[in-house]
This record gives sequence, C-alpha cells and structure tokens, in this order.
Amino acid sequence: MPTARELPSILRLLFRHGPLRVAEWVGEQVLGRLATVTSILAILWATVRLAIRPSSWTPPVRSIFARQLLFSGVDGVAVACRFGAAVGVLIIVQAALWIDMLGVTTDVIAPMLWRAIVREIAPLLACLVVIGRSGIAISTELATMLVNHEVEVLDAQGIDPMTALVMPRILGMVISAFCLAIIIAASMVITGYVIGWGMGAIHVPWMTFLDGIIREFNSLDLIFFVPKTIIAGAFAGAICCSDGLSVRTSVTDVPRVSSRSGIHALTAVFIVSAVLSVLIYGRLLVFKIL
Amino acid sequence: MTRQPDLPPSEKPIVLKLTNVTFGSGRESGVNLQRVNMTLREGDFAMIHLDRSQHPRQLASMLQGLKQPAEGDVQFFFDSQGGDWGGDDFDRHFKMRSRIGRVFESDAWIQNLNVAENVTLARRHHQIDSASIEQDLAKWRKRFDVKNVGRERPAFVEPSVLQIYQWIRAFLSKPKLLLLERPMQSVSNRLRPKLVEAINEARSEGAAVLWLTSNSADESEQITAPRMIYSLQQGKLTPSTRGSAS
Repeated sequence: MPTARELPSILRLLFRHGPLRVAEWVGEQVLGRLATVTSILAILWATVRLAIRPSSWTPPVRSIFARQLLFSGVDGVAVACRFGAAVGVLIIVQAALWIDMLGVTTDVIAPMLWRAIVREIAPLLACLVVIGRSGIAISTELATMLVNHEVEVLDAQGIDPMTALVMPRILGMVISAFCLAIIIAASMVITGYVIGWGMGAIHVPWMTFLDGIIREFNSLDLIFFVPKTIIAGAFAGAICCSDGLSVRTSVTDVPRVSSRSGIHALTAVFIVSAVLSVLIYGRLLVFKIL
Repeated sequence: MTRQPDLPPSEKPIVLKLTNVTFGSGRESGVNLQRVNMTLREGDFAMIHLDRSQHPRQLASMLQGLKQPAEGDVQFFFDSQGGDWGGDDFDRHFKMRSRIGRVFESDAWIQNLNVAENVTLARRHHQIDSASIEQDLAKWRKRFDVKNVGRERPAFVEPSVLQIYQWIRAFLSKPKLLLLERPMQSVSNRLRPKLVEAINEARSEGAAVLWLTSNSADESEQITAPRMIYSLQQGKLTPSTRGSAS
C-alpha cells in the first residue's frame, strides 16, 4: 500500500486535511487566477483608454514610447531574422521529407506551409522574441524602479506611472510583436526559397514563387495574423508590467519576479494563441466544436 | 509666477491644510502625527525639526496624497483649484501634485534618465512654459553655481551636486508648495543663503514652504516672516517661535 509521502501532492492534501480543505484550496486557486486575469484585462483597458487620449502623449511619454519601440522592435529585427531563417530551414527540411513520404509536389505542400507560417509559427516566434528580449527586461526595470522608489518619484511629480511607464511599454510590445511577426514570416519564406532552390526542391523563379504565395494569402490569414500578434503581444506586455510592479520592497525579489513574468507571459501567449485558434477556426485540435 | 498682492498673512489663500491628521508611517524611524492641525497660506514658511533618526519621506508622501492618513484630512489648493486627496479623481490629483516641488531625502532620481531629463521631466510632462525650460534650467544652474552635469546619469554624479539639482527640479516646476526633506544634506553650508534666498523669492510669488530638518543651523535668519518653527514631539507639533499648530 502506498504511503502518503508517495501520493501526488493534491491527494496528500486530501489525505491530511480532508475534502473541505481541498475545496478551499481549489477555490482560492481559482479566485486567485480570476483576480490575475481581471487585473491584466484592467491594465489592457486602461492602456487603450490612455492611448486614445491625446493629452496622454506628452513629450516624455512620446520619448519613452520611441525608446521602447527602438528596443523591442528595431533592435529585435536581427534576432527575428535569425530565428526566421533557422525555422525556415527546419520547415523546408520537413517539407522535403513530406514530399518524399507522401509523393506529392511542392504545389501541394507550399500552401500548407505558408498557412502554418502566417497563422501559427510567425506570430508565436515574434512573441517569443519580444518576451525574451523586452518582456523580461521590462519587468526587471519596473521592479527595480519600484524598489528604488522611482515610481514614487514620478507619482510625486504628478506623472501618472500608468501613462508614463506602463502604456508606452505595452504599446511598444504590441507594435513590435506585429512588425517582427511580418519580418519573421518574410525571413522564413526567403530562407525556405533559397534552401529549397539550392537543394533542387524548388524549380520556379523567385517572382513566380512570391506570386504563388501572394495568391495563397486570403482574408482568413489576415483575420488570424493581426489579432493573434496584437492580442498576444498585449497580454505579454501587460503581464510583464503587472508582474514587475507587483514586487515587494526588496531587491532580492527582482530576479524572481522577472523570471516568473517571463514564464507567465509565455504561458499567456500560448493560451491566447490556442483560444484564438478555437474562436477563429471553430476547431480545437481535430475536433470541430462549433 | 506673479508677485502676490499685499494681503495680511492671515487673509492670504490657503495652500496646505491639515485637519486632525493622525499618521503613522508604520516604521519606528518614520514620522508619526497625532491629531495635527496646521495651515499654510501663500507665502508662509514652516520648518519642522525632526529627530535625526526620523525619516520624513512617508510624511511628505502623505502630504502629497501618495499615502493616506489614518485619520483626518489633508487639503492642497492652488489658483482656486485643488482640494483633498480623497476619491478617484486621479487626473485632479496628478494636476495638484504637479504644483508641488519636492526635495527628497533619498532615492530621488529616475536612474535611466539623465540629470537634465530628470530635472525637466515634470515641467515637460505638464507642459508648463515648455519653450523656456532650457533657459530656466540654465538660469537656476547659474544661480546655485552648480556645474552642468545634465547629460550624466544620476548614478555617476556626486551627491552634493545631485542635491542641488533636486533644488532646481523643485523650483523649476513653478510650485505652489515646496516640500523640502532635509534639503541641506550633502551640501556645503555656504549654499544655504542661496537656497533661502530662492525660497523667499518663491514665497513672495505665492508659494508656501514646508522644510523638514534635524539641523538647527537650517533656522536661518534670512528666512523672512511669516515663519513658523515647530518641533515634533510624540506626534504633536510644538511651536518653537510662533505658529498655528496644535
């Protein structure tokens, strides 16, 4: 018979404290998660409200926004190209394998790959780049500012930290995720073509290849690509800001909060992607649910 | 700012009013208040002597509405606007804070901005005379005889210079209330007359001043009337010369 030590933690909890305690614990967890989601949605709502108000865009806020775009977007272009190129190579290798295995032509595989790139891979990779480069940096920066009373200094000068610190950073991440996703998709396609052409898998000229891709592009791609990059980027930004500003007044909390916010943001991006897939396509994996 | 008409001190508009304020910072080293009443009008100067072990940051934050008193009410008025710090009219609160110049005792800088950006941040954000910010900054630099370290980050500037830039920041936003937390720390005593002169000038233009100190040398004779000197004992403000505190 297994001992209590060998049982999974939740069963151990049940074993030790009884069903009421377990129900209490589950309730606390659910309420805690709901509070977190509500808080993130509130931050996003406040960001939208502040962003559309012209009086929010004072010279210092514009400057912070420009710096954030430069850091998250422009400085991330090289990384995005590298990621795109590397994943482009992986995809073309997979495509070559499928062509051999299924005995089909490039014309059959190319549209599937293109859809996978535009609808799934590029937005996800862009969010990974933005979170890895900027999200964790943002949460570290905000946590350090909070611990060093810099947020209080802003507040004391009549500067809303939400307007000056949070809104430009979230917007910067959203725009960067969107632009980097386009760059990653382009990078994948170019690399895929170059490698495929070099391997002899693609025989058509570049313009014909490009024309084929453009013909494959339909409104559903746009409906998926735009909200996925924007909503996932917004959630990632809001989570990083929220986590950064949740630190207690100790410098030792900063690294813990930063790493935690990275994981939270990644989790949110995957969840948002999955939820959007379900909502847009009406399918959850292979099961039609709508 | 314009020079104020010569009303009797007791008839000048109120700038800061504390009504039965009880405040505990929650720390032994913080400043505690027990049912304190105090009124600062335009042109008033109040100095509160603290123990060396007491840190006034929380108290100043409470006066700015960043912390809530346990009891009582804090009100701040400027140009027929303002009021208390209650409610969720945050835009009004931010606007009110934009008219308070503050010298912090510690942790006073945004580290990823340079000194010039820090000093001009509030004025640029609130777009107060944006065109003349650079000239005004140069004027204050010259007045306090401090070297130009505007392009440096605060971490690379010596504390005595940074402290003077805190003075400049407080005056640059054309404040209606000056909250000075030990403004002379790290600074040579020879600069005290220059600070007092700038304070007197701000007062003549309608600002009220609250100076928190633990150095009796700060009680400069140059500080013009009306001036009120208090010491803080067991949460009560006790007038040292003359004042209206209880």
